[in-house]
Amino acid sequence: MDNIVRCEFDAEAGVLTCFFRGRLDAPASEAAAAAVAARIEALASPARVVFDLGEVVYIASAFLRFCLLTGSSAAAGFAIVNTSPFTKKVFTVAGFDRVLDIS
Amino acid sequence: MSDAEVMAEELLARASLAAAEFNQLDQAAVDRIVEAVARAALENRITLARLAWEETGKGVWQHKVLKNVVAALLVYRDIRHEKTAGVISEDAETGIIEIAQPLGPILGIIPVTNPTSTVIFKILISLKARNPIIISPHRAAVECCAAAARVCSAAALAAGAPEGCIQWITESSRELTHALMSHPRLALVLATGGPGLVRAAYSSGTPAIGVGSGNVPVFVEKSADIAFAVENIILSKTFDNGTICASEQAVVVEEETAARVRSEFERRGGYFLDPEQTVRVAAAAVRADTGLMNPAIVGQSAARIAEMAGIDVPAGTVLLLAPQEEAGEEYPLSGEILAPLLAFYVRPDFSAALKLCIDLNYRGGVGHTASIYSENESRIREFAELMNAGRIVVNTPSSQGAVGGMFNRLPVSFTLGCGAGGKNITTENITARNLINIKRVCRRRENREWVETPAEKYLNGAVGADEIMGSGNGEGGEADG
Repeated sequence: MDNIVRCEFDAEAGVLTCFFRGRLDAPASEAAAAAVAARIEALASPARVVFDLGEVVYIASAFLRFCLLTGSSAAAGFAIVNTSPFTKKVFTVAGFDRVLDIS
Repeated sequence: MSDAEVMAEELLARASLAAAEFNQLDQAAVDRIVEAVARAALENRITLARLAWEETGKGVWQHKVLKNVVAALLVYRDIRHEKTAGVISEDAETGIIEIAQPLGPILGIIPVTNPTSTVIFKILISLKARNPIIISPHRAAVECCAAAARVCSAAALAAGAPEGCIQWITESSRELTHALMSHPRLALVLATGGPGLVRAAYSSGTPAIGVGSGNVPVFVEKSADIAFAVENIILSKTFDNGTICASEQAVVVEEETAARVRSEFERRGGYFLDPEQTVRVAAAAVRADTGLMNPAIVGQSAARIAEMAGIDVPAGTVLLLAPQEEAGEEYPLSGEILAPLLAFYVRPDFSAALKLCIDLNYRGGVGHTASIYSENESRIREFAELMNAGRIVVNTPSSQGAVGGMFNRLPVSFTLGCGAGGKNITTENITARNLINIKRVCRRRENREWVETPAEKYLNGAVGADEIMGSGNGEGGEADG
């Protein structure tokens, strides 16, 4: 999985952090979505999900949709962190700054 | 929320995601997408034209093929080198850098008269400017517009365009159109249609470029090459059975050449109606309740219109001409009629003819297009000075001339700005550059006169305007050096 560096689960804090990198175009977004969904499903209890986009350079609309879905399904909360100014603007243009926790 | 509002929400949600992705594409990526769409549209030009003709029952399918070619090929060639992404200009002297920024989701409202060509055109210019577009077709052209949008969408996606950058409505309704037009996420309404629809676009609260009706006078001034003029007017007015809003609506001639003009029309299949036939045709062509053209005759052939009016015309008639005395509501054929039917006026001299052209221009076509055939440059300039039109086409078929790219160097466009007179912000032929916001990075370049003049001078009531402006041309005094 090229575009997900890794997912780390902090059991004590109940946080699943997924680190992404590179171009998250449509095929990469689909693959990432499947991988993250599998990881969430494997958890014993609901976790707060965090996407770290520190190394992402391109975001397709498919990944935006995936973020929206994750935001609405993550029972313990969802946040997007470590955005670059470039990716921050992508989320703002999509209107996500009003509905998701993005930093 | 109503069903229409729910659908508008879904369409705009997808479009917003596409807009976010579009923002990241550079010029090369955008140009690849635009070229792919133009090629696909060109490849499907005949199928789409036939679909439009079969569904709407208006126009001539072969002419619709040509319109599709103009929309795909000429529009593409016109915009392909335009810079619409990133830095588009940089001027070291003024210190200004211009950066293109997309507008966001656009609603493209499509008329029944030119459906597939307008779909292709609006998609190309929107994508070139990195804006997603939602196609909202006239209810009588839903299938052909969907087909055109589908072709363009498939090509765009294959070339790397964001998913959802082209969407289209498959069940057109007034409620949905209004819900889309007034949606807060919509950036612009690009409206082509009747006056009611264009007014609704401007009233929606969303920025709009709306193009409504024209009423094009064509003045065949006495110095004109009359045979050439008539040939071109017929070419223009019969093209796709007169469905282009820039097509001629009234021929104006001076008495001296009236008989020759009339004879040239007759030689080429023009049929002059007698007074009784004129009344019958007017009743068929114009709705008595609104004074506007009857949609049923739009894009019909001259023979079909004659049949609808219950009159006989000779075989081979391609154009009906109705002699008229004046322009105004009491003369229903003096307004816009998108069919091969022309009002015909004779005036004693240039001055009287010009005054009539003004009347016609202001009878529902302000800001649109005016046409003149003349070899007299000063007459052409006088006509141009007095017409309130975004385009004054000279010795050119008006339909094709106003659209641009074929007979002149106007930008190629199926959306013709009509200026303040037509409630538009511009008189330009709308194209990709009208669909970007331009950011200007302004480096410090001091206006020496301003910086070096103490503010006290302006605050001192004893200092008059002459002293401030200087006695010359008002462009500054000593500080200019």
